Amino acid sequence: MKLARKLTAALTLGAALIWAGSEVQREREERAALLADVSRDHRDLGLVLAAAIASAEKPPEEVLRELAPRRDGLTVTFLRGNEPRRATSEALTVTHLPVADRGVLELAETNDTSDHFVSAARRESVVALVVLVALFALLSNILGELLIGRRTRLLVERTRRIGRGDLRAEPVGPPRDELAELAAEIESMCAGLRVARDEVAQQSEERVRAVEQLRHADRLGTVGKLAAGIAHELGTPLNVVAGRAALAAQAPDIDEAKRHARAIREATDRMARLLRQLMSFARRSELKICVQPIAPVVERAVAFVEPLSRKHGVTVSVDNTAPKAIAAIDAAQIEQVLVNLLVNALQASDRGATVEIKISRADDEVHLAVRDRGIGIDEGDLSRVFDPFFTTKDVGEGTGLGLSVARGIVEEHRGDIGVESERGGGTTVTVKLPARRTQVVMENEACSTPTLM
Amino acid sequence: MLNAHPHVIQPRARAIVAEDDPAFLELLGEALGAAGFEPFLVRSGGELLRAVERFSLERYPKPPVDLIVTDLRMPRLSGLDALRWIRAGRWDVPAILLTAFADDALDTEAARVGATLVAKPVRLDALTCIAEMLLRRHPAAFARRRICS
Repeated sequence: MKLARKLTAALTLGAALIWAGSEVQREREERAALLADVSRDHRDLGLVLAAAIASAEKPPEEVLRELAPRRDGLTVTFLRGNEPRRATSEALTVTHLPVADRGVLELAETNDTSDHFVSAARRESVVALVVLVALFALLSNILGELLIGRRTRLLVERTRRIGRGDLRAEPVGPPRDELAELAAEIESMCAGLRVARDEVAQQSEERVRAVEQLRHADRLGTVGKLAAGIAHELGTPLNVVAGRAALAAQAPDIDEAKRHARAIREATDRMARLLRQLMSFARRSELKICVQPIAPVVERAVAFVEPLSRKHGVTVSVDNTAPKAIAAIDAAQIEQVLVNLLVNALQASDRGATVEIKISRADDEVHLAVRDRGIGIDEGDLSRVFDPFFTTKDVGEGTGLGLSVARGIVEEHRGDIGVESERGGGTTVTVKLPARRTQVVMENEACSTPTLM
Repeated sequence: MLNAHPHVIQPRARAIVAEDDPAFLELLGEALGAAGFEPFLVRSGGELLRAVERFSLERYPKPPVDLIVTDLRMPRLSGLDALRWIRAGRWDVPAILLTAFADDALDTEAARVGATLVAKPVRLDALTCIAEMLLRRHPAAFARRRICS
């Protein structure tokens, strides 16, 4: 609307100026014409009067007194000889006419009438101008509002709605003018946005579904693997128990029966060990996170495996490059992780070898690396080491759950666990743990050690 | 109970048992031994092949063993693959394949190598029954036993 008003104001001003200019010109011409009329009138009158004076016996003043019209503003004088003559001026029109050789007739008339006429005309024209301008202004307001203002406002609202995300289609008339064209283009742009938005929504939906499926499948996969693993690992010793029991029932003497009974004992021990590992697998959902120094946890784990390390003739050494390092952990669970890693390392090492635990700090993380120089892991097996029940150890020596459990615990701490190994070159398992509580890992109320933040 | 004719000394039928779980392996050995077989125990598909090779030299021209009992899933070389190798060597030895996961595909594969599938967990009496029946159909030497129910 402001646009329309500006336009109209400019046009109106221009028109008004042009009009005013032409009016002034016309006024001038009119006045000149009026005064010319007066002069002509004077001359006509003067000729008559001059003729009368010339032919009359009376003195000219008398003639004039008798004959001169008495008009307001008109003075007729007879001038003799060197009597001064008046001159035409702004307010006065003076005409001189010689009368034979007796003198000059002077007709002087004020310009009042003409001036009145002109000023009346001027007043009229000014009024007309004002009316015209007012009319223009009104028309421009109305038309501006109808043709431009309202429609522009609607367009602005439409684009605002689009900006807010309302991409519903709206009907648009035929492209009668620029604004209608604009409206049509906006709708077509809106349609384009709709298509794009639907595509994006669909893609993101597909992606979300795919991720969900993967997660679901992964969960199923792990649970499936676990179930299959349990079925197998428990099923076999169970089979042994059943078979041995049958044989024991048929045994010819007590010594054979005792032999079978011993085998039953071993099988049930194996099942019990597996069940214990499974229980700790299941039990670990209760995490108690506290921010605490990591060194004591490592030391406790080392102390725990001391009998085993002695049995294997392997030394365990701790290399602490960050003595004051702290981490947000459940101490008992991380201890279990370390014990599992140490047991693996010890079992893989030769007599007299060393297993090294390195503690280090990196930004917001604490790194624990358990390294052995044992037999190493095949490249093909590396990707499966964390699978439940996967083990390269002899049957009965390991359940295949140690690394699986470890990974589960580390992941619940929002940490990371990785393994590097080469066949014949030793293995390093690195555990990364957050050094401070993260948003997801909230600290529990009861922490025995004061938090060092 | 080893022979039906005590005055004829029958050599015991030799059975190779391949199974990676040592306790289970021992059990199978005991069961087959009690059923009159001479069990030979190995712990992997590779060891199975090596044993068959060794015995085939020893017992030539007779078949290396009278019965093969093998677990399907073993590290590195599976029981099925080992049997394929053995069949390729034209040894027509009766075979029993033990498995915890039986499906149609496995049925076909087992049939192809001429092995009888026995599902785990294994009922020992059923196993020994099947073993004897397989031997009965075979011209090789076998221990005569009454068929268990």
